[in-house]
Amino acid sequence: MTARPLTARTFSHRLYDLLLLLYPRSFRNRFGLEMSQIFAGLHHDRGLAHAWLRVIKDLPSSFLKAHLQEKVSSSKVIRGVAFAIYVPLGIMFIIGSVLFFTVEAYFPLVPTIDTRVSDGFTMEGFDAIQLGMSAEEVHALIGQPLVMQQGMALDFNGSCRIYSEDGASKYWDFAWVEQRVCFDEYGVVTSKHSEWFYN
Amino acid sequence: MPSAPLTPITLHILLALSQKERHGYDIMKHAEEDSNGAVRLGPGTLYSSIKRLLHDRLIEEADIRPDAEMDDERRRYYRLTAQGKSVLSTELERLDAVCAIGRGLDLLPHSSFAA
Repeated sequence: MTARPLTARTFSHRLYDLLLLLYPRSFRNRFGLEMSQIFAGLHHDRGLAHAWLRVIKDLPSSFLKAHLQEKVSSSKVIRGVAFAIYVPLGIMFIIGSVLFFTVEAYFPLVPTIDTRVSDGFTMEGFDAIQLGMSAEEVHALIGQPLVMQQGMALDFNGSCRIYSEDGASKYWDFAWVEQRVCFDEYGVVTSKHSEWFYN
Repeated sequence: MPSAPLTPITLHILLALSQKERHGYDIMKHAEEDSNGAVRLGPGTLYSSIKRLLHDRLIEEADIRPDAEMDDERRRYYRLTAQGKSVLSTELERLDAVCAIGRGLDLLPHSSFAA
């Protein structure tokens, strides 16, 4: 098993990469990839809504600051600010409307249609996992995970095993559910999580 | 080179890098934790600040690269320069002096660790 990559190119990630075009070229060339990594990290750790809220709040002022640093003429800055604010908002409004009136109406609030689970995984087994259980006991309940996270991918000594991921449905999905069990460095369960991710 | 007082964003970025090299997302998380959520940086603001700090030579890019098996090997790590440490120390001393004035005026507790 390998650590789960944070740079999965979901639609949102590609849209954010497009928004990076609003920053000056030199700034984008130097920091664009890192900004994408941060967006992916926020999406992964706190959910898509949080990631977008933070970006929307940050974009106008940081865009302006980046251009001022580049000593762009004021008229270009004003046009750029208007473009940075209204175009992304318009795009998101259109996309949100399409999603709301088609996808959610088609499959209202059923995230499991897009959730792929590991072999042997059952919700009954997942619910039976208790804090303090060993890795072997967890394996007996829900089998092998799809993804193992450890080391620098986490901010604690230990590991997390992920038993479900995105990708069961290519169309008409809007969310998926991640089932994750985390262990300390001795292989004892310290937490389990069931979290929705919207895409 | 910036003169004190530093902005809260600059102060928390320098604080986050005071103990070890960190990548951008790690800096963002530590700034938020250290400030109890008061400094919530977006990616653009973070890297505008990092660009300025690199230009002022208060921080520099570290040579370390994470193992591809352990993390995203394309991440860039940053660390404080000697000049950055000096600016951070000066700012912390200034804040300490301000707090001392506050304690003298009974606007702050006399010990941060008082029960």
